Amino acid sequence: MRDPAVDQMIACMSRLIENGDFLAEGIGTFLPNAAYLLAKRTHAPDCLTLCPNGNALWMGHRSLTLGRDERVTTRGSMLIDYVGINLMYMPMLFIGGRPRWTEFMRPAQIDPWGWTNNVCIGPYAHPRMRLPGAAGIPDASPVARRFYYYVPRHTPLAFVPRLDFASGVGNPRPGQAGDVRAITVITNLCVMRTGADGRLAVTSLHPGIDAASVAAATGFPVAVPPDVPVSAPPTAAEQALLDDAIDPLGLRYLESLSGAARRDAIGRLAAPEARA
Amino acid sequence: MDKRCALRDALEPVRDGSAVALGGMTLYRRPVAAARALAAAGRRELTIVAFTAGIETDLLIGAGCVARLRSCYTGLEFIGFAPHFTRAATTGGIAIVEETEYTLSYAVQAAAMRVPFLPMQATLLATDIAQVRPDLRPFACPLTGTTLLAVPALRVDVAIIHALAADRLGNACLPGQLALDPYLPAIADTTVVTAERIVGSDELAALPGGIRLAGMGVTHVVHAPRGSAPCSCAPDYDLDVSAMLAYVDAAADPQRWQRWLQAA
Repeated sequence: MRDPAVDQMIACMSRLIENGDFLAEGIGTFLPNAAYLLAKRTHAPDCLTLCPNGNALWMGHRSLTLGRDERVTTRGSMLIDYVGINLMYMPMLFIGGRPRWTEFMRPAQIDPWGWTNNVCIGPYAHPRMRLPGAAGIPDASPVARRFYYYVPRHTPLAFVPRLDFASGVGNPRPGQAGDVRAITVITNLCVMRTGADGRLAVTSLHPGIDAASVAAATGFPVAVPPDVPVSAPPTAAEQALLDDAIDPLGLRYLESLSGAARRDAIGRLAAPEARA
Repeated sequence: MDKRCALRDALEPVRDGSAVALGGMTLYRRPVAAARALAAAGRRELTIVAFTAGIETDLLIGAGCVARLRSCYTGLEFIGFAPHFTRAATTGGIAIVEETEYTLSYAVQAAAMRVPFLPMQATLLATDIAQVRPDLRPFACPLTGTTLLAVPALRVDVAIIHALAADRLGNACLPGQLALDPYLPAIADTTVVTAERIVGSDELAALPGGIRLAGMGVTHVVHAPRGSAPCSCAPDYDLDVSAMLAYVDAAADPQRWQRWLQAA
């Protein structure tokens, strides 16, 4: 079940983290959590993490678990309720800008200007598919100075010319007023970032991926500079940390699976976890 | 004042049409036993309020108890989509009040403060959420003139919180996951605490994590061992991943779903 593209994404994400960042984990987001733990074990040891599983502000290291993070995250850290998080810490971070807040969100749809959807596919009143909801993305995305998304399955279903519902705020579209902000998207094929025009363009291609593959997987025209660099792969030391210390169970690979394959993988992983 | 009672008696204040807040966070320390009891009692037309909604809300939707849901995330975390919610939302079986982390937190804080609304930065107006939440009203700030968003206070009839331990007065130990739980007694007419164990007040205060829910707002205390399963109740037991998968499988088939609901 090993997936080198997932480890490539984690390496790219980890390198975007600076020492001292406030790192926010999502709900069931193994992939960014692995990147946070990798950064903390390498170049960014002093980061504070907000763990939704535990409702804790947390320092330190752990291995990814299948629903057992509370064993670690609820110990030796500051516990916090969500009124405190949303009426105090998040405005301080999003609007105040200090310390630097870094979080990687996973959208169901993203458009050329970095607007995103986590609410529904199809019209809101009669959706073809209902998604879990946007949680804090609508609160953070309009005011954050930088914003990061990750897309483990880079397809035209994820990269769409027009969203079915806008729950995450991107850059102003042509003719709209407003500031252009840096929105970065890490996918299983490449890294994209918004340029001065506010529109996503490829900034590096993962090893073995060419511009035509990215164009075919993106539901709108996307610029790929002719001299675009190749994403630096995980170093041997980074790979060893992921395999041995951060995620020995390989939970990070769940994020590239869907449907029956994902369910079966969780079923297999649950067996050894239950005995742990 | 001893607030201990049977689960059935504690849930009596939940009537058809009641607004009910459910405590806990994603798949952790959820009031699952209480939700199953509401399903068995055949409650209808409930409005469920949950900061994040998981299996406790999804099973109530599957049992036909829910008319309306207010939450900013409804799902089973890494397990996947919440099956009954996902289906009911596409068939029009439930109404959804589209919330965010901020709107729910502000609404609960406003209700606790006994003010009709709290002002929020108007940045949400850029999203489509503003289109589907006309109750979030822009207004001019009386001090600066800038546009703000009024988030209406949100009260509920009944709040249900599962705790690791509680004393007979309703003081409770919530080690870890707090979600919005400490605020729920302040916004509810009735607050039910179900707990893994009922202990003396001194023993409760000495537990790791101590008392994080004040009993003064709690009206009913129920002894409910494994009352969160298959969700966790740290540190007593972990999330039962296999049981969660079995829930998802059962939800896919009407006959198996009825058997899941009827299983004790």
